[in-house]
Amino acid sequence: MTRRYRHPIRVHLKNDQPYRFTWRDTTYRVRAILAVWHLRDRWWSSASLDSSTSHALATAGPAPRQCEQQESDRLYYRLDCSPDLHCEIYHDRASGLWILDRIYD
Amino acid sequence: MTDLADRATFPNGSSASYASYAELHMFSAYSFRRSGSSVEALVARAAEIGLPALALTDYMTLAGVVRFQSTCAQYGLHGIIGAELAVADDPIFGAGAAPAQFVVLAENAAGYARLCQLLTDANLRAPDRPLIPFAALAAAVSAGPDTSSGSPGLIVLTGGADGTLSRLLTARHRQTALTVAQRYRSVFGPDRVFVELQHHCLPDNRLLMQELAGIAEEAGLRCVATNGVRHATRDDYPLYDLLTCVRLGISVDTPHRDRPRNDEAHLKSPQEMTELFAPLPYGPAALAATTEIASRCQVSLLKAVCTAPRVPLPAGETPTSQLRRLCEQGLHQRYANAPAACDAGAPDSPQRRQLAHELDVISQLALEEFFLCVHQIVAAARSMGIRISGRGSAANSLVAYLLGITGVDPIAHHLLFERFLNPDRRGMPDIDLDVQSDRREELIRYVERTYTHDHAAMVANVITYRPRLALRDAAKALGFPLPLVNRLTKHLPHYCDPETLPSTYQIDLMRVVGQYPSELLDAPTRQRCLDRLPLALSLAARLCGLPRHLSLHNGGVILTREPLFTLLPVRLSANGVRALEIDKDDVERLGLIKFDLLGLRTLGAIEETLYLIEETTGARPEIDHLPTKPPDPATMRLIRAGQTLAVFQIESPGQWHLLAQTQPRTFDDLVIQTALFRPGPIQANMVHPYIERRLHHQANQNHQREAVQTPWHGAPDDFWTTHPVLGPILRDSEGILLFQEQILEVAHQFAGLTYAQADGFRRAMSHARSQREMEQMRQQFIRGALARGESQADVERVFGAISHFVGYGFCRSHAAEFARTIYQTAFLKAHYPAHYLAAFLSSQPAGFFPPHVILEEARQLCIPVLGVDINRSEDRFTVERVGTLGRERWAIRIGLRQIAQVGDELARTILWERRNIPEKPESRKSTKKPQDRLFCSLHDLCIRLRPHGLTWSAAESLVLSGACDSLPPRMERRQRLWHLHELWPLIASVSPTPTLAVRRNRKGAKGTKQTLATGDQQEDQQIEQLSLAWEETLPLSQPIESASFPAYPPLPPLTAADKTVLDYQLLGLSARPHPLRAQRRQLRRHGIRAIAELSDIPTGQFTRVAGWVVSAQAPPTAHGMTFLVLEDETGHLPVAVPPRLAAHLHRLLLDLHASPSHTLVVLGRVERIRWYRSLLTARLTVLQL
Repeated sequence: MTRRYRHPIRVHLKNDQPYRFTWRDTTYRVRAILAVWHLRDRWWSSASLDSSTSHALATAGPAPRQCEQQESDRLYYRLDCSPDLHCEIYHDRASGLWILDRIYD
Repeated sequence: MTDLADRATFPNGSSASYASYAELHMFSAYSFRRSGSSVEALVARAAEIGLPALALTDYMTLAGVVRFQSTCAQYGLHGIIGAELAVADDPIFGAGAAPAQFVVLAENAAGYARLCQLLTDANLRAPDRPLIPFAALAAAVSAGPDTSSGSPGLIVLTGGADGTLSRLLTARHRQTALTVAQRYRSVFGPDRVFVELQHHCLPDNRLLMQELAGIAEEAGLRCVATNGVRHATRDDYPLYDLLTCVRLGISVDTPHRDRPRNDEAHLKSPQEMTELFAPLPYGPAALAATTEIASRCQVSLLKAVCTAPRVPLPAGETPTSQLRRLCEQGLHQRYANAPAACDAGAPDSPQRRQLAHELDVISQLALEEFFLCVHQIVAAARSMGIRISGRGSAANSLVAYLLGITGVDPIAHHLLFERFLNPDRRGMPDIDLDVQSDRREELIRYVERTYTHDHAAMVANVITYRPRLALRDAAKALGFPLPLVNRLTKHLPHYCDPETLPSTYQIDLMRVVGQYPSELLDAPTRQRCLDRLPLALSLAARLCGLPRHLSLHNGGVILTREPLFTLLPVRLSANGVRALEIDKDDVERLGLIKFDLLGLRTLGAIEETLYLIEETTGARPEIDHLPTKPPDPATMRLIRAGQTLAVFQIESPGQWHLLAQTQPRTFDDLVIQTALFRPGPIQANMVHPYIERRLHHQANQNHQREAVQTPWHGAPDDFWTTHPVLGPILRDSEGILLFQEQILEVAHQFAGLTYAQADGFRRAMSHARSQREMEQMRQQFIRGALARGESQADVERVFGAISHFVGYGFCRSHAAEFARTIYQTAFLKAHYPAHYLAAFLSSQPAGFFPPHVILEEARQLCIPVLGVDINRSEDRFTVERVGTLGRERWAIRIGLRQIAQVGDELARTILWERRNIPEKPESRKSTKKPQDRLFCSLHDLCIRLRPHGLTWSAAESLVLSGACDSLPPRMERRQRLWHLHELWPLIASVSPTPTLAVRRNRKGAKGTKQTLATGDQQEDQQIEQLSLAWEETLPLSQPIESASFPAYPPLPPLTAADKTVLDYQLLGLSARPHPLRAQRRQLRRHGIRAIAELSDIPTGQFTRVAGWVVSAQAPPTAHGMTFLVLEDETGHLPVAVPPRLAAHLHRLLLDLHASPSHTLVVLGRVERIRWYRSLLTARLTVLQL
């Protein structure tokens, strides 16, 4: 079983790879990187025109703005950490943020 | 086997000293919507990141390999050829499963040929979804070794995620996967199959690789690393994903297992691959295997020398002797009136001198068989009665003229052989053959039969993305609704610069989205489309130029000496024609011989005219031997008078305008006329100087100025015509550089270059050149000219003119061949107008105007037009003698095929039934005329034709079009239609639509005599039975002819106007007078003149004219002007509409299209040149009468 958190975390790198991170005031050291994968999705959302511009050009009356999800370009790591924590974190390349995605029971 | 893991060496001499890596699995855009990068982009990227070798393994095709190897050669890379194969009937998954994918690389020429054969077999077996049986792959890979290399020639990689092993392991069937791997080892051999490892940074990728490596080790196989490349860089990933969505028919918002999940399938450098694989225990070996395999694969497709197909020769003849013999025969035929040319003992005659020179060059280039091959095809076409004519630069060759390939005498017309062929030329010379369209397929079949399918195929055409198509695909994949996509694409021009696509059209297209009706587009979707439109445009711009799919070239036929399957795979087109997977540029790179057999409807019209003349008069004009010096006076009068509607190439209003000014008098004038009316000379402003100089020249000759109102700006510059060297070269084109041959002559005579150098100079000037190349050429030209004593200023001036010439050069020989066809068609129209126009109408669509305009032209030439008649019309337009004795003339009879819903097949069936003649049209030339079995009534017609496919709609069309008006008993069309309504259910109940067997039986009737008799007997019996059955259904059992029907209700007869409307609806034209004739009195009341009356109105005066718009054009060279042609019952009138009225005109044309009874009224200023009249529009309106 896993539990999703999606909490921003601060990660220290060594050789461009996660070495340790802090979450909820606890610092976790990476014992092993179990898997790495890369997902890129919704690339078509990033180039969207600003809605005010497009509305100005539209003459068919006001339209409710439906926000598209933003592009995601994420590098995922499944980690075995100390003290005991089995988790997945990812680095969002677009925003530069590190996110704790889920924790394994 | 050499281990090259540490240091790889390649044929091009490059080497790599670190953990070397060669990419062995890569798709390009030739995988058609499976990759986001072009071959050129991939190879350029490979060179940039330091890959020493890479393989192109497109999905089930080798379409890109020639371009790939050519580009690799430019970058000094080792290009390996292979393909990803979809393999069916996998022993594990079975026939019903998704095909497994293998990568197969060609080690040597034998392996490459086997790969081509595998793909060819798959393409021919199932053109829509080619698959390769596993057994066939196994047989090809494990076949006996090639004698020269000692290797079987194919290497197999087990594929990426869609390979059998990966699929089994993903499904956790490890033991089965091991069994499969062992089977691969035994079937392919341990050194011929490699387990492919791909690391795309996806979840469980490492685990899968680990499993694959374990299985490989247990099975005794080796692993190889690849990256399964789909795009050159990470930036190309959106394009790849978008194209995948296009291929799958989904939008980007829809998840799908075949869509990529990240951008890791880009071309990775050796360092990147080392970082991925080196830490893994099996990684270094897998990396090393790539370079080892790369060094084993040595296939080069690019040939330096062209090879012509082998031509059958008479015993004891060599290609050289045979060519010489045929040329000698040609000399006696072509120059029968020139004894010196025919005399072998007079080598100094111009013909013999030229022939000796050409044969010498042909021999140097070893092109004898090429010429013999073309000769054979042309001769075969002529023997089959197919009109054929060479075009293009081939007409510069005396040999081509003597062999009958071309029809213009190059000596008499001063054509330059070196433009066609010279010793420095690389690649096969280009010979294009125009063939009458309706029989082109026959000739292609002949070529296939003669050279066999193993050596003859057609060329493919690579369809690349252009702005409209690119935006369509991009917008659809981005989730735009289809009707909106249609509207958006219509707002783009067919051709525009892709670079400027987003910046130029974004605002316009956003407005289109914004103004799209709200009932058709809900607000959230509109907003999404507005948001995504800039992206759609930018992706469309990037898509432009990428291959999208293959189609059939419109005439290119390849003939090869080696079997085709050793060169490239063959595909089957939608209409069953075999075609190679490459386009014409790749054909040249491969050193193959190609002819263009181009369909030309005009040639069909000429041939049909000759047939009609022969059929009706017994004589056949010698159209191929018309006098040109001097030309036929009646023909030239017709051309000068601008009566050129339906004449090849000079029938447009623009040509009328030019003809009125140039007034051609000789054949050479026609050659110039052909070359002058082209976008190049028009854009380069060469037309007016030519006309001015010509008029000046004529005025000096005649000692009087002709009364032509052409702008005149003082004395023309006489440098070009008085210069001792340039003058003679440019004299016939009035000092204008018009022909490519003139450039060669200038470079040769003015700058001292050899003809071969001059042709190289011309070619270089005609293609994209760098600044440095231009400067080199300039220096070479100037040095040569100065050395010959020319002044620096003159040299600079001439070079400047040549540089400018690049945009509009035209080949004189090509123009000469076109002029010949112009002359022939004008001759036929001048002397046999009814025959020619009837044949031209049968050859539609052809020419500039729709058929009803041609028929109106016939009426204006006082040729009677006869309506369609079920008992008199043929399937095509024909001529009939009409009028009283002593005042007879030829009339045009409308053909049955013209009737809507009837079509070719039913029209032929009607003829067949009426005359009991064979069904095929070519058989009509048989001399024996059978007894006609005319239709004697409507029910006779229905009874006889219903079993042969007469449908209700066709029967109704026959009645409404007036085709049945002559059938007894005489009655009005409405009554006959009533009759048909009563008749049809009774016939339909007893006359089923013919079964396939009946049709086949009838088609088989032209087989053996016995079959014919049997077929006829069966049909006669069937018709008799049907007739009896029909009679039984009548209330009174009496003979069919005397059957009485209830009295018809009193139906009003159709008016003449009703009949005209029906004619245009059902025939697209009418035998009746022009509808505006009946409305002339009313038009006069509105102050509207007839077109013919404009001859009385002086230039500059405003007048009002009404007519039908029979042509509307807005050529890109016209700076926004639109050109119309108006038609009324008295003639045709060109009308120019200025840009400010373009939008208004567009709306009016839409109205006119919606309501054919409306007429366009133009108020404009009259312009006159001799007989030519036109209007410059000031105001446009629509008149409803």
